[in-house]
Amino acid sequence: MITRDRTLLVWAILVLATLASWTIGDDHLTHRQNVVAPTVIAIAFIKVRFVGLQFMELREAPLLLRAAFEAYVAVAALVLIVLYLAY
Amino acid sequence: MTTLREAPSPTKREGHIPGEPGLWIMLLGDMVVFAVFFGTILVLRGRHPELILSSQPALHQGLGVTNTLVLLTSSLLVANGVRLARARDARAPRLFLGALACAVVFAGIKAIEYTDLGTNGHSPGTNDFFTYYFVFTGIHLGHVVLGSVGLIVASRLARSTHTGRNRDSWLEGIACFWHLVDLLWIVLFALLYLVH
Amino acid sequence: MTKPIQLGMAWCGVIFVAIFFPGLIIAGFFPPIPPGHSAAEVAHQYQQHADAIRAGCVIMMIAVGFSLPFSAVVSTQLARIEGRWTPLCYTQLAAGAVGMVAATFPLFFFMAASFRPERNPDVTQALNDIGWIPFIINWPPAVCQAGAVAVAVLADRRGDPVYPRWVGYFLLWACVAFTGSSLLLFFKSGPFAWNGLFSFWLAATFFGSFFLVMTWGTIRAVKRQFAPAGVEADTLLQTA
Repeated sequence: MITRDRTLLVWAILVLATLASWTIGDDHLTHRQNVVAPTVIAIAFIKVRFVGLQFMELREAPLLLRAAFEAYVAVAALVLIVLYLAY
Repeated sequence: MTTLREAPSPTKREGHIPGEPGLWIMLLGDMVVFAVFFGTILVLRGRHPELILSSQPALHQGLGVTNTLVLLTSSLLVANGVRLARARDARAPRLFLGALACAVVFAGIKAIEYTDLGTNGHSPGTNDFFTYYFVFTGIHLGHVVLGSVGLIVASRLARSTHTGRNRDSWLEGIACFWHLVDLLWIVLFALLYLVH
Repeated sequence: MTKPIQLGMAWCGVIFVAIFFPGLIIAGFFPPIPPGHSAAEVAHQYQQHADAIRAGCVIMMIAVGFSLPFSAVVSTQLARIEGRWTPLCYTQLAAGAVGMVAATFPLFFFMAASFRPERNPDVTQALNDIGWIPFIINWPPAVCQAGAVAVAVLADRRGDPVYPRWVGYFLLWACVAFTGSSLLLFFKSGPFAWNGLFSFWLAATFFGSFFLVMTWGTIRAVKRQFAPAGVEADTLLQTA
């Protein structure tokens, strides 16, 4: 898929993810915050990963840089979800 | 839309660093600092959940969502702008200016939100939640302003007649800073507006 | 003759940090006296630890002295980058000098407070405030200094740059971090207060790192300046 189309597709996914996040965050899926909040956080970081890999073109970056970014996304998402659930 | 001949993409196998290596120290560093902000928000929520529950409803989720979509769109424009500029397409500068327009809209919506909160009696000093809200979105807004200056510079660099050295590198760097602005807001929005 | 002098001055950066932070610790100021303390609590601290505070402050004052030659040698290297016209070199030098004053005069207030700790606690608290507030909030000299270096490093057009480019980006990031202390007047506790995560710890980390990174970078730059390739590059730039 050529870059132009892929960039547009990623944008569309991000828009949908934003709306989904809003819907879920507004308790339309379930009222249980222990499910809602981690889901919202996870969706946010999935979006972050898309922005990095597609828009920032990290998919074509050297392994070290891409790994640093991926590590950030994974660790930050995990730590935040744990911080949420820990209380 | 007529088919666009893509410029040959740079050394794919060894990997291409967008912008330049040093820039990523700053970008990743900024992400780490904001990650500390993110953690701080959740620690506050953990210690004083009732604070979030009572204060968060004062925020306009709809405006927050709109701002998120505005920034996502601006990132799309910037990503395409870089692509077109590499191909020496004359339309490239317009895309950066389009992104700049999105930045102005973002700032405008933020101004509306701040004013609305202010008139309803919520200020940075009201309680810790509002302190974090105003300060973190304020710092982010500062990034938006910086990024906007970058977009203006980019729109000039993106002219197809531009012959400067490292011009593609500069464009990528400015673009990546803008995507950083987008990416930070994505998480900030989730934590300040949605999570409780 | 200038190479060993420059190297000595460059080492002053590390010496400054190596003496300053122990001084801060001896005075009991690391972490800082909480801004939320009452006048009685502040006075108590100065009474209980008067000698430690006095000694720590003198040590810090001496340490700050080392920052002056350090700024000067950094400016020398910036001048090599800039060539004939050297505005950034002057900016850095001026900012470094102002920064030295900015770091020293709060110490004088701590010293005064520790000199007669038996005085009215309200007065002690006021002296303590007038020490801590400028000590933490005064970021403009630091930003001017780090910013000037950052601009010079990123504008360096040499094939073999005087400072590695990542130093420029690191300093820009440091500039942003320094501004975090702006909010401390509005808070007596929490992460934005003068002893908080953002106003103090973040800024202190970058402040220390600034000197360590710049010492490393400057020593490296001075050594390369006097290597054959460096001398040649400098001569070319002067005649450009």
